[in-house]
Amino acid sequence: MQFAFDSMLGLGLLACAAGVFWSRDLFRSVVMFIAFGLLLALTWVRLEAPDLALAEAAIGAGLTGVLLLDAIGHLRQHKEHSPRNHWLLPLLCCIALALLLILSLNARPEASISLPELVAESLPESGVEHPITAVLLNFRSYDTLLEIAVLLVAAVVAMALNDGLAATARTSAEQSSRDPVLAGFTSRLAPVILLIAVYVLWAGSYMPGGAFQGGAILAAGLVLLKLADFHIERYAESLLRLGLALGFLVFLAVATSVMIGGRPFLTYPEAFAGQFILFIEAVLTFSIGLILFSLFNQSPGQEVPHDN
Amino acid sequence: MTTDFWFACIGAVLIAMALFTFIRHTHLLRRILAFNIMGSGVFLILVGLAQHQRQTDPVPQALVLTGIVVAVAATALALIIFRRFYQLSGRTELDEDQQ
Repeated sequence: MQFAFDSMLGLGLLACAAGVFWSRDLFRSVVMFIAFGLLLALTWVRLEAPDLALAEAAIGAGLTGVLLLDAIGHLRQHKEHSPRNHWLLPLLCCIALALLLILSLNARPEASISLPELVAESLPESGVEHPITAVLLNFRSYDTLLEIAVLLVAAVVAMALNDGLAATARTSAEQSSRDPVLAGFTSRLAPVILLIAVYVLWAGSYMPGGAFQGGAILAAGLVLLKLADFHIERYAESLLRLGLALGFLVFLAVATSVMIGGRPFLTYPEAFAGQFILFIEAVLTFSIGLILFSLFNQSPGQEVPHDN
Repeated sequence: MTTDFWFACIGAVLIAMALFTFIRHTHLLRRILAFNIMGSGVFLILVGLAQHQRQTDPVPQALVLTGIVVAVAATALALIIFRRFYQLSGRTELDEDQQ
């Protein structure tokens, strides 16, 4: 039974990917991509990775889908199918690549150390009960610090590329056309989304959940508000910019302040590790939500491009 | 064949399919889609292979969680650059791909 389910899921993934790659209409490609993200979330459940399933459903299917749909909404020509003429050599190379990859997966060497056991051994010292949160924010917190730095850089580049003129022209034109049903629905939904984001963040210390999933849910709520024409970012632009950097700055401050007590970079005192991690996660959630939202918000406007 | 190994193999096939699309198609939006699916294939291999014939492993799962968030930021940035390029030039392909 489970074998049948796995086969169907795997073939479904391949079929959705084929739909993304070879359909003539770009809109159809994007819809297939969203379906692919949802199937991938199911796959993570089958691989016993509920954290990844949460993140994939919120980010891979949800946020990326919104970004892509927004992008093709601004293209004039959807039916662009522009393959090159030569296809035989790439096809042969890619089939060879697939075979080589599967062969090398089959012939992998045995791991000399068992990471899950190491994590389970050190879990009591980490300050949290959920192993993935412990890995992300204690054992491998360097990765997470650099990740939030990468996100911050992406947001800054997006802001630098945006010319403010297009955005203001667009919003003034849209001002009058607020849909009352969507606006009412969103204003009732927003507090619930906020509550879920905080719950997922809190739950991250003892069960699947945490800063990334919470941040993604927060970003989804902000995007929904934006789509319903609540322009919250305009009420506090300087605060928004501070919020983007807050996660990285607080994380860096905590990471370096422990060095005053003679500890190495990024190690928390054991007695307070749990509180430290929850505090960092709370600011990270806030910043990740704002960064993902501003990446959506900073997209260039829809004025007609110059004809060449 | 375990569940984990099966999905690792699916990941390998996804990488190859995405690479083929990446080479063959010149439309930038489709290349961004292909790039994303290639990343998903890598994530499947990373988690599937680490858990093959062993217990669930939180370390690759945490790495992939980081990867998913970085991937969406990279995709968003790529889309913004693509839209700016389209806005300024009106084209959806790079100069060197024009035939």
